[in-house]
Amino acid sequence: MRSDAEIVRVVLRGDRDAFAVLVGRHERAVWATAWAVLRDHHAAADAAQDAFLLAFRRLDRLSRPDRFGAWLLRIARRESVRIARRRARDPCRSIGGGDADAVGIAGPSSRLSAGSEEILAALAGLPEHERVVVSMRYLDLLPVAEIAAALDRPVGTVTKQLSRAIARLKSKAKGVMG
Amino acid sequence: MKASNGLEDQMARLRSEWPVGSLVSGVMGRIGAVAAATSPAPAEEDRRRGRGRWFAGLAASGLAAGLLLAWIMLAGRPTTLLAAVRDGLQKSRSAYLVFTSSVSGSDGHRVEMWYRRDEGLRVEAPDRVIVEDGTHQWSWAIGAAAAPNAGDRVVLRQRSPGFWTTQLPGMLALPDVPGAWRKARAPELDRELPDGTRARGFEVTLPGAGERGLVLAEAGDEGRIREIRVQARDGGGAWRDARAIRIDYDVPVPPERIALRLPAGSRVVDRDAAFEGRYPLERALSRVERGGLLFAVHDIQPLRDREGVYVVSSVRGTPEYLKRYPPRRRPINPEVVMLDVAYQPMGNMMEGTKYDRIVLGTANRGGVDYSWWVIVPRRFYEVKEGRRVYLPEGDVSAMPGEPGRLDPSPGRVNVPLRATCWSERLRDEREGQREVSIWVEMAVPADRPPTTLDEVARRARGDLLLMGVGGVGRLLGVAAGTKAEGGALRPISSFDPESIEDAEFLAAVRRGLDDLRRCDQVGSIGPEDGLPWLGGGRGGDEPKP
Repeated sequence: MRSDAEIVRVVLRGDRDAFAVLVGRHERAVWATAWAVLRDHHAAADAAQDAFLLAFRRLDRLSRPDRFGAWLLRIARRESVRIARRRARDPCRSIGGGDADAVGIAGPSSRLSAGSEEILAALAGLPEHERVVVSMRYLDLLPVAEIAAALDRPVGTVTKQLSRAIARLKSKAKGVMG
Repeated sequence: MKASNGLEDQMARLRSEWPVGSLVSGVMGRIGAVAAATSPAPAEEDRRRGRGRWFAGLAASGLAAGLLLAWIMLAGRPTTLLAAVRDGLQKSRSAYLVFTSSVSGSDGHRVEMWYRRDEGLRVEAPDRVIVEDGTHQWSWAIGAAAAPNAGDRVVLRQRSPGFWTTQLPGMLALPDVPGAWRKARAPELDRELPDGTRARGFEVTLPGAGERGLVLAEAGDEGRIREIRVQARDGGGAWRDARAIRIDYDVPVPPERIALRLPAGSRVVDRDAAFEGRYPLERALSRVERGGLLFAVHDIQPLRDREGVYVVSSVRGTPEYLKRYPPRRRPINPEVVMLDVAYQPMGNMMEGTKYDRIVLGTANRGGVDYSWWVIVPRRFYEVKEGRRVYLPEGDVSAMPGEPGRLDPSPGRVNVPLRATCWSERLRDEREGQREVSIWVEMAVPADRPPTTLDEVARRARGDLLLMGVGGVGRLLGVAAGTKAEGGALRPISSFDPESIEDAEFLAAVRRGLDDLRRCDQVGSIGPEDGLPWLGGGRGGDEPKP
């Protein structure tokens, strides 16, 4: 498995298609970050797309390609806050589910249970580097070794980060996990 | 690393409820669209950029361009997985394809396709048949999806959306796999196919969350692809087949297999004529150009008691705009492809300071976006002793450019037109999608006396029954039982015009209006809401002498 840093370098050399791997790898963490700010599925998807696009445009300014994931989540949060401010100026605007349905986009589900919303909110409260590993491990079900390879970190580091993140999640989402 | 069962269970539930699909194709599509303007890697990109513009321009100019585009794409050596499949098919005289998808807890979904070069194809899904001859496409429902009365069976006909450029990529649904996939050899997958061909295996990382592709191709550097299995990890982390594509080339496909045989007693509806014939641009009541977009108002009618104005409007790009910002083609399914130019509001919203917009329906085809909607004046009120007390209405707006009344003089109305551009190269100062809006004053036609919301909602549904066939148009409203998710408004749902009755639709529209009305409540500012005195102390305290 190629690491984020390798893929960033490949993209910068001109292979634009390689960026798709980064999108696939981090899309859930980015969406979760946006959702925590916007609390709206479709607005979060828009914000996540905007964040990826911005990251692609600014990829040549990324000084530490091995930190791509955390950098991307910071962009996602900024984009989401910007969209939230814009929506605040138009508080009664409803984007609901109509636009997606109108063009026939079938999402797997249109509602999140209260428990899932709570765990998402807890996830968004983690530091960015922990959010990346938790998303890859528990939302994309990647083995720890693959996460380590993707993030260019020792397996032990990823394991420690996961341990800390789990402890934090447990304390943040007590209501969900009993 | 093992999390507690509670966390794992909760994460598994979150995964199963994940409410949005993969962002990969959307992001990569947008990147492709903006690459001509911005790119982090100039050398290689300059070459691609030129080719991308070429393709985009060709795609925008219709079917002929689509075929030319296919030829150009096939003239070069195929690089991506999708291009390799397309190449194999194009070089064969005939082909038989089977698409299967695995859905847990069911028998899955199976689609078959028969293809004869230069003649056409036939696709059979459990619920639908599609026949295409290269210039036109026909489709009709079968099985449980067909109308119970065979005499009512409708066959939809439309200009071909382009088999090579749109339909096949939509059916294959393969993500952008980088061109070097043939280097990812997986000899353990090598096997002999039922027809005796020895196939070589490849394992490809798919840019979707946790997916991989297992590819079988005939021997040789450019051996034709015979099978693709897309796998995703299950809850335990093991790989499971999600879907598969199997292709047999140059197999006998008799001409009658792909010949058009309409179901007995069926009625043919021409999608293109139905859509374009209802509200043609040349018969619009008003046309106005703004920001490269051409707005048209096709119908207006005041509501009784100055309750609002019903509007049918459309927006499209001017020829110069389309040339400068070629629209992206976005396949929705094998029959529908969106041409992204601009869209009008798709949900209820405040319109400026004095009005609300209630969207009744929307339809989009060929880069033209139609909207059925009602503009209503806001009615501000206070709640006193549990009852609404309405404030006096004024004829002045505090917002620059916004008219104080919808009916400035007898027989005339003010209408706000608004659209958002799809093009990634058109951004506002905050890098958001650029929005274009304008108020227009126009005369009400003599045959449009004041009417009721019920009547215009019925008319909107009637229009969409005609124009929205095949899923290109939807009615909008607040479904019964929908709850607000933190905000004042409940989410908007979309309805197939054929699957909702007039009364049910009207109720959905009224729920949306009621929600907006709740936003009209104003509260009096009391002493407890005042700012603290500048001299310090608690808010509400009397100033010290």
